[in-house]
Amino acid sequence: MKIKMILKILIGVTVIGGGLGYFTFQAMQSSWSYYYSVDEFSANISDMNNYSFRIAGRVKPGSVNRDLQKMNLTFTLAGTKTEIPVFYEGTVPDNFTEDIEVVVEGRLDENKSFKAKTLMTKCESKYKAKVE
Amino acid sequence: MDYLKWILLGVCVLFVILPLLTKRTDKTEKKR
Amino acid sequence: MSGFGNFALLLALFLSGYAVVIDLLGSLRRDPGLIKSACNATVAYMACLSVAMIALWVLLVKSDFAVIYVAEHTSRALPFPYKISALWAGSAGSLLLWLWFQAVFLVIVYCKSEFKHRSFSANARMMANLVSVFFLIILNSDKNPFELSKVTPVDGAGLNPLLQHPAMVLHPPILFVGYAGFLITFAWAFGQLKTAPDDNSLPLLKQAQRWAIFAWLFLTGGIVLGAWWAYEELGWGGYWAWDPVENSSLLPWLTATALLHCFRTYNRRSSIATWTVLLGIITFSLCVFGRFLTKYGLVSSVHAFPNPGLGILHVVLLIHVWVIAGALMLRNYIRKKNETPHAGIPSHRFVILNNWLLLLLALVIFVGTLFPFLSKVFIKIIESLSTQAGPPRAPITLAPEFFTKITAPGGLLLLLLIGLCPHLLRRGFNKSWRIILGVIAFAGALTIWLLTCSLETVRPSGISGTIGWWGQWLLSGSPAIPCFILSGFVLVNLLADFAKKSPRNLRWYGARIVHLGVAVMFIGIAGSGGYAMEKTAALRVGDKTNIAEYELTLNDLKVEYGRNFIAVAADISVHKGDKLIAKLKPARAFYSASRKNVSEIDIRRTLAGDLYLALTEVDNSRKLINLLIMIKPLINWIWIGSFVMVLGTLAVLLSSFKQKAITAKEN
Repeated sequence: MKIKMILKILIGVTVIGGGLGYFTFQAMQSSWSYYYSVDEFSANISDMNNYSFRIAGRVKPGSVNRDLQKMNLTFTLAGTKTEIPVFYEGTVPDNFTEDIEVVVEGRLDENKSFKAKTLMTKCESKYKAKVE
Repeated sequence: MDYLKWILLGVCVLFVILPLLTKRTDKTEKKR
Repeated sequence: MSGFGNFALLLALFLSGYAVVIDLLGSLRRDPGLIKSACNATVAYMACLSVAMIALWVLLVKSDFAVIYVAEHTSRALPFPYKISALWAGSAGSLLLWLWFQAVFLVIVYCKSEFKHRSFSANARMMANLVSVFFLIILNSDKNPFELSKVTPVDGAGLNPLLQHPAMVLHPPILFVGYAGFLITFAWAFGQLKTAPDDNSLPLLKQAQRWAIFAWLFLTGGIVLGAWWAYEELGWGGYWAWDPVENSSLLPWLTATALLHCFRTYNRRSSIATWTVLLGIITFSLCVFGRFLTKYGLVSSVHAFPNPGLGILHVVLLIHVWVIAGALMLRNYIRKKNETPHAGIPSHRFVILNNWLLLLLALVIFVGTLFPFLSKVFIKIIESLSTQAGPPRAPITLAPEFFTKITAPGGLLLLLLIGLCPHLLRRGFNKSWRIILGVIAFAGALTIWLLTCSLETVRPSGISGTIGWWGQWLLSGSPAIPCFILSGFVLVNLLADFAKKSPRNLRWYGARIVHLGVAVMFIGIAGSGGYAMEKTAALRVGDKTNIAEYELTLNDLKVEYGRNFIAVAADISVHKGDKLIAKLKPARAFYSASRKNVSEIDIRRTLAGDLYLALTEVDNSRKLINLLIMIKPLINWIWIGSFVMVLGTLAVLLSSFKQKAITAKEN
């Protein structure tokens, strides 16, 4: 009798656990992105085409170009040794400006320029930040 | 501000020590 | 004054440490004198914390910028109320406030001189004070609010204008009352573990239950307030971003919800008793861990301030807590092996199911939040084991979509459970399945019909348009549809309950109203999540743009010159067909001194949904703007639903107090 019960529980846990695990994994697959710094990203740039990435760097002063008519933004994301050109279409966070730390999320396009679909700025106060 | 510190210290220590000084005339704890 | 505050904190540390040791000694030796001394020490350190808070307030109000904390969070020009609220604007002050709430609650609950519960109180206090000791070590060293700077600045940094908002002032203290309130159930759980429960402990149980309801009330309120502020102030049109800071308040909320249901069906001889104790410890542990996560940048996000400091103490505390809990549970298990297990009442099965569901949801959100950190660790392990090159190895972050994909089905399951339980409890599955299906079908049809009437913002006009739109809506596979149906199911059940002649008292109403609020909230979440529309338009004066059935015209762009800012306000009129239905004025202000931009959104609110406008960009000539337009159907039902939840909880809490008064009279 007892073995039957243990078997039942084991099967139940495996089914539920397996189901949950598979489901969670599926959800992860579609929404994960690797997190890099600019220099790390540039170092591996030949491998980068198929994945979604988050890159952290600094906005290079003088590189910001906003086109309000076409509603896009281009700038250069700078690390300590390397740089990446970024193209972004979307709402720009209020505190975006030159020389601040930002995180972009997106993919590399054919021209080796980074097409960002998300742009996040670090919040200055130790409080909730605005996220695009 | 030193006197404030002394007052605070004194009051707290007194309050904490008091139960240790009074005679233990309470009934002892029931065994659990 | 800062020296005095510092001293008060140091004294508090010693007193709380003393209390832990003396409570332990006193309960081992069964010495009432020692126990009373520990009790007094708890009261004393609570007083010291009060003194420290007052000292900090004096420093803030006097703008004593020699104190780093004052300089960081206030400025001379800051309005007085914000100098007061600056107490909890930074992490050191907020830790002090949280700890103070904890101490006050602890004193109220476990420092009475009732003889009957003396040893239980000693055990409860011991663990609670252990927590205080750890926090006080941090307060006295790493995050000391009274730390002085070497050079006194002329003026302080002031408060970020985004935070100068009543919701943001109230949000932290409300959350802290919640977190601190869960200390009571945490302490109770340890009292239960150490002191063998018997019939005398019923009032203690009821008391712990009351505090759990109280804490849950405030935690719910705090979370909703934060979400509402994010929606109103941050200008991105959302209210929840699944950010680690937000998740850390949601996690204890999930386990606390399970805890509340366990208390409701508590029976000390069944497995529910173990669940209750476990959930009590887990909930508070999540509060502590959440604090660690938000203030110590474990996860690299936009909130991260990688500053390890003594953050590790949070983890050390939790390890202590769980080792002690584990040892006690093992001891109790060995002792109880010979007793016959209790069969458990039918409702236990559902409560346990509920517990598992909420616990699993919390676990997935927990792992998802920590994923960047975990993946970093995982990578280090893999890298040390292999030398192959392969896919890029970097920490992995999970986008908000991950969390929505998990919580949407999870939420649906919860809704289903809320709807099914009353039927299954009353009649069992065999007799109810027909009724259940019937109610679901009826509810589904009713809900869909009602929503069709109300979703005017999203529904196209004309018959063929409507049919086509309906087809699209139903076939879209969006989780919103099952959500509407299940919410409708729950609502119909509740209405049927209200119509019946069952026994009613305040608690009966309260419990049902809370679940009513939950169902309503889900409707709001599904509507605004599943059917939102968004558009960004570049406009000059005179330009028009369309979204859904609306036509927006930019009539004017006014420039306003303030003392330290320049603001551009857009005058926008909204037409539906020929009718003018709203005039909105989103604006954008540029602060010259701090070089900050602040966006002032404007919203047209109706029960059917919000039309949300934000000026995201203004060009240098101030003639061209980028306007973010969002339609959020049914979003106001989120706020309405949460308000209903709060009302219901208040009713339950009130009835609990009434019950306490009645039993007190009988004794």
